[in-house]
Amino acid sequence: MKMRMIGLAVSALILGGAVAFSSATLAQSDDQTPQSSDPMQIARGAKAWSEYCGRCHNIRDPSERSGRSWSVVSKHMRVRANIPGATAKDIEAFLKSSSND
Amino acid sequence: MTLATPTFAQTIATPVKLEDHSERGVTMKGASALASDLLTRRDSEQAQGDLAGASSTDAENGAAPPAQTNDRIEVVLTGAVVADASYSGSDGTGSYFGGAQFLPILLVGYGDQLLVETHMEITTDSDGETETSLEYAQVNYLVNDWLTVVAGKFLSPIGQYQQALHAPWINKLPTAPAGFTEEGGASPMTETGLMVRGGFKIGAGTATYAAFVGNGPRLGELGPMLEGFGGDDNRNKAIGGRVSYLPTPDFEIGLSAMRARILGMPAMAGDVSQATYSLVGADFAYTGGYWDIRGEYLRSRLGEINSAKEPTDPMPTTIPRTKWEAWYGQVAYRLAGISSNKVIANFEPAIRYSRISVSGYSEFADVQEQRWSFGIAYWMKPAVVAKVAYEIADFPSAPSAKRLNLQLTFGF
Ligand code: HEC
Repeated sequence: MKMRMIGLAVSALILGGAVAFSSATLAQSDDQTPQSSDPMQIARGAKAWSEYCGRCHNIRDPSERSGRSWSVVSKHMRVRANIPGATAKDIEAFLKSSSND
Repeated sequence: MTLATPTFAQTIATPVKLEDHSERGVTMKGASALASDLLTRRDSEQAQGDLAGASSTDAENGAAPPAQTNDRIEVVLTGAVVADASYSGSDGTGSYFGGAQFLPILLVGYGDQLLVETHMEITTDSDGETETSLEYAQVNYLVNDWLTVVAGKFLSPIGQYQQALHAPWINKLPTAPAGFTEEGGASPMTETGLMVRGGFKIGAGTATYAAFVGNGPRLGELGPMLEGFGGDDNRNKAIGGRVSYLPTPDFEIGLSAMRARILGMPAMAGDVSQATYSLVGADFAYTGGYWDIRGEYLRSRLGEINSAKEPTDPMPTTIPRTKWEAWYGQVAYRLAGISSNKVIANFEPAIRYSRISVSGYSEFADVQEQRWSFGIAYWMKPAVVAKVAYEIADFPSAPSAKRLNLQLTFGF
């Protein structure tokens, strides 16, 4: 019974949080697309890539994938590795800029 | 490729493992080289008015830019193909080509904030049967920089093996550590429910968290089945999660915990009871230079429970309180650190000790094992690897087993 209450409370918290945040972030989601033309962002991304992306597995060459593929895979890795969003966006910009297209 | 100026290179001087020296010369000191090369290329291309090669945003790609880039759908198929072979002189099974596995992952990105991931496992076993299972299927909503909400069936965030290392093109050895496998293991594999997770900078370091509410484990004949079930057999949800801290990007230390109520297995007649299952764990990883050093410890317990021991039991019996302890320590070193020879540099020897001990109910204790694994991997590409490992496993209740495992993995 106690566990059930805790479970419900945590679910409610998660859902409530998600709804609150989604309304807050939908409005600002325009600036979530990395501007890959910003050289500083690409340089920051290159550094973060070399630091974070070889932690669990061998670092993957940016030229393995297209920019479109990287934009999905970098989000996959952002979630899998709990990479802070700003850092993940820098890495995405770098990967796209060195991708195979 | 132009070389980076020393100053630029120094800012990115972290040594990183280099996988394939022949590929574009991307050494990790080359992370900076790549970036600066790219900037030069972009400048000259922009000057020529040819933007197609270097830039990747839609607006710059020459193709008609969609009005709303935030609603674009992108589909990516990734995953791995694995072939195993095994040879044993001692346990009577002889040598065989073990199952082949196809592990496709389908990723669907929808705009900037939604990502769907599904991972299937298609396996041929030694009887020639093909088995298909859904390892995970989850919707991720990237709410903001430090919060992602996940719904569906996902890899358990407890510990590091499951969520960071289980993929065969990542694991440096052909096998999972003792106690970190599906049947009778002590490490939660998957969970079905809701999860929040993310990471943020704290001072010079990075902190991460993941917390879930899920259907929780069920009781099986070998112990709790720590998987995400598509339904809940008791109406109590499991809760759990992990927090970690990275003082520097190459060192992580994590703490995990989980709590659930587990229902006894129903017998032909009679009432079963529920008991509390709880788990705590700690893990660390050091990945500086060419080293990869990891360890993980999990400890769990299940209270006394009234349950069938097998589904065909006429009546439930009392299963005593049981405790599990599982851990491994692993060290791997990429020989690129001591040799620039193209062939030698791609070898990575690894040693692991793993152990699971169980006290309490004797049937659950059948999985007890301690194992030494000595392996060497040869990396043809960052995710294409041939591995050989010699394993010596000791069991309290059976003669020890020595086995040579081979695995070829192609990740893509
Ligand atoms: C916490 C460990 C971890 C970190 C850090 C990590 N990865 Fe991964 N990566 C994985 C795992 C595990 C997989 C296997 C896919 C799965 O199990 O879902 C994977 C898969 C991949 C793949 C194959 C395609 C895919 O999406 O599955 C690529 C490419 C990749 N990672 C690139 C990266 C990049 C780039 C970074 C840095 C931003 C990164 N990884 C950081 C664990 C990690």
